[in-house]
Amino acid sequence: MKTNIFKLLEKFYLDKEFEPTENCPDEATLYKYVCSCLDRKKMEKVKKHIIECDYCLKKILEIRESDEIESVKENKELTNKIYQILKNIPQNFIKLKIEQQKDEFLIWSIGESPIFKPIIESLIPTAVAPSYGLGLLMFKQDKILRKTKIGNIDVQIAIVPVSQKELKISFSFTKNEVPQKDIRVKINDKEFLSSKEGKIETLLPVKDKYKISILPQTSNQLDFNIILTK
Amino acid sequence: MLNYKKIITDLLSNKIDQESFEAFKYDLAARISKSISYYKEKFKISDNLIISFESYLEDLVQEIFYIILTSKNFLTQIQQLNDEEYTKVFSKWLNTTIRNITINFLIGKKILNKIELCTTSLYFSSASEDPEEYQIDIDDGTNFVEEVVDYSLLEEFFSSLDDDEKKVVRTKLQNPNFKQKDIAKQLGFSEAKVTRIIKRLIEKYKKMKK
Repeated sequence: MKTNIFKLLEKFYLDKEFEPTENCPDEATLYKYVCSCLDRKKMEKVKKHIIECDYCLKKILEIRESDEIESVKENKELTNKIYQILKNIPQNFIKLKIEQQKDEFLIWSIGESPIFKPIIESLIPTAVAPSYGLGLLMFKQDKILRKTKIGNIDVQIAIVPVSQKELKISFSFTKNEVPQKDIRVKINDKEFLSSKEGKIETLLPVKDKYKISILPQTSNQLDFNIILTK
Repeated sequence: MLNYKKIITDLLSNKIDQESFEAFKYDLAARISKSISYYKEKFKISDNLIISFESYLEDLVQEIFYIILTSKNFLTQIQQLNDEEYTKVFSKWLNTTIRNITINFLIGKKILNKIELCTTSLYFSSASEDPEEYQIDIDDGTNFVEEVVDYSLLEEFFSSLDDDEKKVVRTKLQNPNFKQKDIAKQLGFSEAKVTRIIKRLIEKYKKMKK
């Protein structure tokens, strides 16, 4: 039985995580190097760097493995299944990303569309605020939902863009599943009180930055911002 | 082959026409499909696990599409390439991006874990074609080899390498077709030194394996 020491090490490189150094070329340069799209001097420089750098060597090996993947026989059935998912992306889509940073939602869209509502609805996820689900929300249809707690009060915040100009924001407050009324929410300078069903619902113009504070009577308040930018 | 430069430029400026957009989506679907098939085969993932993985396809596709749309730095840096070069570079980048996301998904969805990744079998069907000096004879003289990689052993082996040994390893891995004389020339070493280093590597590995 024979094995090859370099193939073992290649496997090892592909599995291990390495840290980049400050001398590492940027990603584009590395790809240009692999495709011989750099001038001779730069090619030589990158080649010499890789001899000294585990991080860049790993990148090269990943690119090489991807070449192997390209030569794999295509499974047409699977390709069609994936294509059906991709087909849901409308041509003039609006890219919407929601990023959760502690108590802040950042929502931004790029591009314009004359048919904002149906598109934006197709962009919003069904997921209930998993960290991943708040990534890019392009395909699914529902709303942005976030659950949190202030003291012992459960708070659910839903954000649904309803038109190109309006965003609907709703809050639901419960304590041990019992609706909580009279919880104050301040959106910029406007105040709202939760109903006996523990709910607040309002429309906000889609622009600018909103500073939102939730002020339960018995617990610490929760402040967060919603920003929508183009 | 698609004209990626035009497609990506149009896509990012929301000027893409329907036909090109559909062609790009189909091309992307084929690449993702190949990536999944490749890892299914490579890690011997059962059909059951793949079916469970397919339930995450939407997330996977979404993630890939998102990375394409948001890699503006990379896309700007390759913008000055001509159409042919752009297609070459973009195509490699796209395949590698899909590869990395697929691997992360397989691990993230617990279809693969790091241990499986590290200890999976390696198939060297072409071991007989490798230059003799890189081979480690184990016992039975067969050429079709299935070696279960012990990750911790490799980790220990890797950390035992000195600078010259690492340089030889990196040069060889970067240039799989290099013979010892090519490695020597590249590193400014004598051929005898490269031979000694490779022998030392093999001995060290065999010793650790015992």
